[in-house]
Amino acid sequence: MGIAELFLGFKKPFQYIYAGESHIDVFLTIRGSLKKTKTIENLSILDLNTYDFLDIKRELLEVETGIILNSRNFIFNIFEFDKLPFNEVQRRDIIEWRLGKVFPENIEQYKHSYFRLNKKKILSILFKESYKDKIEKLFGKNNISLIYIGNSTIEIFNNLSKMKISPDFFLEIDGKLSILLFQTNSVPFYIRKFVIEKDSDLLKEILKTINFVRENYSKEFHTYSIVTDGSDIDLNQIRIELSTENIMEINVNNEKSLLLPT
Amino acid sequence: MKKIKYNIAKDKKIDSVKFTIFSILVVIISVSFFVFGIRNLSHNTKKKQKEITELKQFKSRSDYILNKSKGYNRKINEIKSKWNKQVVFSNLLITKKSFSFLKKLNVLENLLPEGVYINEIKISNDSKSFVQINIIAYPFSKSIDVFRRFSMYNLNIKDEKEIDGAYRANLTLKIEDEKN
Repeated sequence: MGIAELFLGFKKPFQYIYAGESHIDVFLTIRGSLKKTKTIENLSILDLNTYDFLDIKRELLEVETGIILNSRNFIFNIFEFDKLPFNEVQRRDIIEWRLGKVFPENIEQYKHSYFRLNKKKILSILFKESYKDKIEKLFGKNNISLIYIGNSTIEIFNNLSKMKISPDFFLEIDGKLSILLFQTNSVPFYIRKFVIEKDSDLLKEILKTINFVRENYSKEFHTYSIVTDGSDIDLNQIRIELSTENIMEINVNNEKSLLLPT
Repeated sequence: MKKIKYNIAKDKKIDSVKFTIFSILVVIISVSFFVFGIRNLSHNTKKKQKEITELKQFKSRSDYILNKSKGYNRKINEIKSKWNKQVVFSNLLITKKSFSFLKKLNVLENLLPEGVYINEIKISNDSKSFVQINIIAYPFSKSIDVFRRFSMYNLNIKDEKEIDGAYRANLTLKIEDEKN
């Protein structure tokens, strides 16, 4: 990451595509704010060919575009180091060495990005280079300038961290895919991604994860948020169960597109 | 809160608005520093100039005082030299006034033992008070007596010789005048 990117950030696209589990949402900037203009069901971005893409292209303007992918194909790791080298090359080496210990595949096949969360913690994100190339080629062939490829969990984290009271953890649900991100003072310390077979499994997995984090990280949780996009799962049971554990929900307006960078 | 800026697009772009604002800020800060520096420099130059002017004023005053002091010293020296001359003259007058031939002759008369004669005497009438005498003594032992008696008057003996059993010598004495 260059100095300009570090201090100034990336240019925000005029329109976004959210690539969910089995649907694609199109968001356009209308009067300064992003509005969902179209949802195309039963489409997965990685299964698209140029012909299928026409359905999406029809909804898009010929302007700079961004795509936010759900976390299905992302691999998250949080590493803790006693000390990290100041030199960027050495730092990357030590992080990749650590990653190599827990990740069995060849890292070179992945786009590896990492972020310093605090003095000791590093968030490592892997995304397959072949998927990235495929998406970029798809947009390139359709003459759509793709200037942003982001991840929904990271965008939710960024958007929730801006809130006055940030939840202790949040649950991101997209179809059968769920992600739980636990944080302390807006510093993530545990991320779990899971896919459920049937809806009733979701609550079990959530409680199992909460108990695991409680035991292994000696943390207590008081607040949470749920961010959904295109999920039919009934969340009331989850809310009731968590309230019995004295964990209160901080309601977030899902209409505000927490999945997108703001 | 630390935002995670995650964007893996190949053609990602830097936020030009933020970049422009950032650049303008950098330029404004740089210009401010430059202007501040120049102003500070010019302020310093003015201050320095003022100090130089003050220093020049002090120097001219100091030179004036120094010149005046030299004039006073010259005058003091003139007065001192005049007074010194007057002192010397006064001392001369005092010396002359207090000079006594009789005193010196009395000393010679009282101290010269029997059998010792003076055949020449010179008395200077200045502040040195020297008395020069040529003596003839019979026998030699008398001359020893003379030397002993006059030894208190800075006795200086010259030209000692013995001719036909008489002992001759030239003695220089310092017989001080009485101070008045």
